[in-house]
Amino acid sequence: MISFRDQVGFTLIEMLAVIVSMVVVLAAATGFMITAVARQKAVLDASQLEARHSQLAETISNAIKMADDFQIFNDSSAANVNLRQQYYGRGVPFGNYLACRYDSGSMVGIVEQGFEFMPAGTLIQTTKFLTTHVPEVTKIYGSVRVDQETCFSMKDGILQAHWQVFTTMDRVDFNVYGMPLNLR
Amino acid sequence: MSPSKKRRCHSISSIRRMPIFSARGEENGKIQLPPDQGSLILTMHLATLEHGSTGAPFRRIPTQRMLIGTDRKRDRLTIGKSAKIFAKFPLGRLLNAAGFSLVEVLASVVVLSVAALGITAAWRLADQKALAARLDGRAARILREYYELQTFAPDYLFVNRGSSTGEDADATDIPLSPGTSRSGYLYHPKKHRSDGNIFEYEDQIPYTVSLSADGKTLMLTYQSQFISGAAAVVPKQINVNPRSLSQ
Repeated sequence: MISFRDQVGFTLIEMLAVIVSMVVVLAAATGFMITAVARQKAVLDASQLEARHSQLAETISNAIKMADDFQIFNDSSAANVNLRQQYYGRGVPFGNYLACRYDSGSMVGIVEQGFEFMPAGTLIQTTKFLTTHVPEVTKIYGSVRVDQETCFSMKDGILQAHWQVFTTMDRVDFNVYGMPLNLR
Repeated sequence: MSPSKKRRCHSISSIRRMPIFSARGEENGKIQLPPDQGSLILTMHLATLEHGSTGAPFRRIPTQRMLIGTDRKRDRLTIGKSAKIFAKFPLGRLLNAAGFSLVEVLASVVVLSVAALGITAAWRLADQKALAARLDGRAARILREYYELQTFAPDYLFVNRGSSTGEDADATDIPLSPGTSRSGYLYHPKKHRSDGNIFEYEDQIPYTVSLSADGKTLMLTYQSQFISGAAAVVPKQINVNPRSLSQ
């Protein structure tokens, strides 16, 4: 005689059902987690990118307002020709490089801030210390596109910059208007 | 018995006629359970229960579930050769084999579903709050851009080039004249095109920028899609220095 206790256990069907159920539940939970984390990362990346470009817009606006001299060039190579001159030379009304120069006092000296839109989709901010030996600082901002032909212009007599940022979620438009305060 | 049933019976031939359990007796078509010893649920198809000692047919059950006790002192029952057994063991203290009943499984599914819905709702709410915060910051930045435009635009832009309602703010760089307004969109979400990896961007959440009649207040309003009621209209305003035009 065989005791019933010896017969307890799982059948193959039960084991398969349990395994399938566990796989379904774990797959659903894992999929949900992955989706949620991916979404969260996309939101975070978009927020960070927008915040960085918002800071860049603020920097451009401040550089314009503080500028003792400014000029728009087609690109940075055209601007470099005029480097270390007291005033900028001939520029263009529409271009992809904006240079603003201001005197930051005896300690720092003359500072030149340049902003260049690269067709590859980046905006490059360079800070040059023209009268001191402080190395220049470069910051690169990506995911940029310009809807018009150029990023910077003197359209309608006001210095302005327009660019678009493409985040992982959406498109953000940036517009900067300004004039040097000492030129108003 | 059909050949197919014979084949099925052969699979359980090793346990047929075995005294696998005993019960107190039969009452109203069901075998009574000793309440203090738990139960064993058997689902039998064409099962024949027999007395273990004599082998005489005890009961024939077409298809039903039975609750059978485990008191070995009473009549022993054996499973007929045509029985097909599916057993669940709700009490581990009797059989050392614990499992889940259908109700337990369904309850766990309900609990898991509710938890998943709750987590999803919380995550969605957090997502909406993050987007609402971004849109709020974006509205403030647009208002600041208009402030700069109003402040630094040359005088001649205010004369004979006043803006009109409904004009796309992104397409124009013209300052607002007193009493006029301009509209645009705060949110341009990415949208997949069906023909490939090229993206399109929609225009959502319209906003309106208006300059008061006295030219002193610049106001931006937009309607949040995450809030209902009167609070859905979000106003932002900033004071500007009215332009004293030469003309």
